[in-house]
Amino acid sequence: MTHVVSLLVENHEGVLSRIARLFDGRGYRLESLTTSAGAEPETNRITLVVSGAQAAIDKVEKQLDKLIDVIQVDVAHN
Amino acid sequence: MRSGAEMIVEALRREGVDTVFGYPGGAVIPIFNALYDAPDIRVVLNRHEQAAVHAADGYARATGKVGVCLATSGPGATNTVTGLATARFDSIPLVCVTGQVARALIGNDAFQEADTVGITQPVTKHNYLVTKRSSLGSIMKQSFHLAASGRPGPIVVDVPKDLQMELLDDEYPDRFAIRGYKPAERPPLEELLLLAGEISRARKPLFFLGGGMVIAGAREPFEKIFEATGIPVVTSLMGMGIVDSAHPLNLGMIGMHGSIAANKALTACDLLVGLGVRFDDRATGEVSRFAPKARIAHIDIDPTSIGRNVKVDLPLVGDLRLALEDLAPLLEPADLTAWAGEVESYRQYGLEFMADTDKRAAAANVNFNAAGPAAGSGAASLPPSPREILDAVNEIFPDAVISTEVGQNQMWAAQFLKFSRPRRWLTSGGLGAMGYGFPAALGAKAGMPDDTVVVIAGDGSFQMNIQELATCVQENLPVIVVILNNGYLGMVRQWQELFFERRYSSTCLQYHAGCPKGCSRPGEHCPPYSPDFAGIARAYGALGFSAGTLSEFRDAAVSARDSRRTAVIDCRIAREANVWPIVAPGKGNDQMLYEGVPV
Repeated sequence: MTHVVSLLVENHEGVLSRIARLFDGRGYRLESLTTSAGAEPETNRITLVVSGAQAAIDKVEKQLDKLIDVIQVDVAHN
Repeated sequence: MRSGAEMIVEALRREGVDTVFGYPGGAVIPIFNALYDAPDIRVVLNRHEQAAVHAADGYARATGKVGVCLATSGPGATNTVTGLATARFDSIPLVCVTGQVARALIGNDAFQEADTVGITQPVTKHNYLVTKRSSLGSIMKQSFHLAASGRPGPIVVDVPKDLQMELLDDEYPDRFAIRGYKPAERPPLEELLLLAGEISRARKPLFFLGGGMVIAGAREPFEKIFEATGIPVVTSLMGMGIVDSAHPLNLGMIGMHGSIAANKALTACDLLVGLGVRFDDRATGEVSRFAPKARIAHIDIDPTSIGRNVKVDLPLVGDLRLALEDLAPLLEPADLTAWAGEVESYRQYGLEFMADTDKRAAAANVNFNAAGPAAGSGAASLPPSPREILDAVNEIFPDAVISTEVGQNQMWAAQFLKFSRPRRWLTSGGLGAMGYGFPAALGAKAGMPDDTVVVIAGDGSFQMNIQELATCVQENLPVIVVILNNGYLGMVRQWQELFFERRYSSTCLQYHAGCPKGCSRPGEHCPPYSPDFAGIARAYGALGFSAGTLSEFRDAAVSARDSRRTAVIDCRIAREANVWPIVAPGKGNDQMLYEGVPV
């Protein structure tokens, strides 16, 4: 099952590695990752396509939301 | 104009920091230089950066304030990792400022350079590399807020040396905004109503209290609920001190080394309300056998802690103090007489079971267990049992701040020491870091100078930060160290005895190169123990005592207490004393063993 994770994040150093780390060793596969400037100043929009079980993605959604530099998390399931 | 270093000192002052634990080095000289001019901030020079972080952690746990520590770049920063991981696991508010090489050198493999932000990312709540002098003030402000709010945790602020010396005409900010950070406050009323309904319908409800109760300052609203409902309580390792240990409805700790009464009540209850707990694997045992008859409700401020190990029927995210304040008026009184009677029968059963088993073991001269020689066995010349020593600690140091190392000493302390209020029990729960207890104790002493601070240590873990004797003596932070010395890394040895056919591989601390290979039978033939802990204590200028019997221990403890100096009491205990009960790995909390006998 693939999921599209859309994040609005602070454009801070290290934000991408904080996000990527959450996907390590938890049984997801990263299909794609894109990043672009966000609509608000000093923000970025990061979009990840990941495959993995629904229960696992629910956990990572909460973990992403917990990151201080992540402003908003949206997940769409395919 | 002020330098970056002066801005850091200004931040400490504005945040009400009175004590900093640290160790200087090339990349933080400007900050120590600025602290030289700050008579209102005490700088405690630890003897290792790991100890500085543990000390700040002990200070934070004992006082409830944010602990602050300071280390240099490279090795200074890497030495903080264990301390940070301990604090993150147990949700302790810390701000750890590290020096970094100058900005122009970052990434060049400069002398004493390490990727501190990268290394500490997994062991902190958040961390910062400061790249602009103008953002230093707001980063410090945010760090103190992040450390203390929500689910607290350690924050690292990595400050390049050139930035510490850069001048700027700026002020410490009063306000700040973090868009992505909104810790939970009150749970919604409709969820609390559901919980109140569950509680009033339950016939065998049980509260399960954890460290979150201490952190949230939720004791007062909880006491109201506890008194009004009479619902019994079990705790995690971290949840001690919310309800008096002596209260008959406090059944004690659950889990691997929990009490018989607590694990039996847990297995029988029909509603378990977890408050500020993580349902850690050492507490749950085999999950399929955990509270098998119960619906489970869980209140925690961290949504990622809920439903992680056990399935939760009623999850509530929120600040525990606010949640319990709101919950109290919603609860209906219920008649729990039958359940209270059942719980009391578990308590009696546990006490009788242990007394009978101890008596049989003593008669058979089986190796001494935690309970030790049965009372009245006339074994005054034998090594005291851990329980006898800890009973004496309760009596001689009432209401002391207790800090523990990790292993058997920690579990015995959890089982036998008595607490009547929170923030008196400092222990590395989640990470289980040996070497935590002693430096944490001196940090607690710095924060609570009028209180007695006692360390319960093992002979293994004490040696992981033994150099802090210098800090205690020279900084006048007197603490009393009680070493339960069995000449083994006792907890691992216990597992080797129980689960690895007594193959005592690398756990004997009395071992000498002349010993037979593969020895697993301690006895008269063993070489003398080294080091001489009392002699080491004296070499550092502390008091040192060696005790081989209970009365020698008591005399030493009284002398240590009355001296008001740092003291080490090296107390030899039976070498193969075990922690009982135990729930073996892979077993459920209903499958306890006491001295090897199924309970």
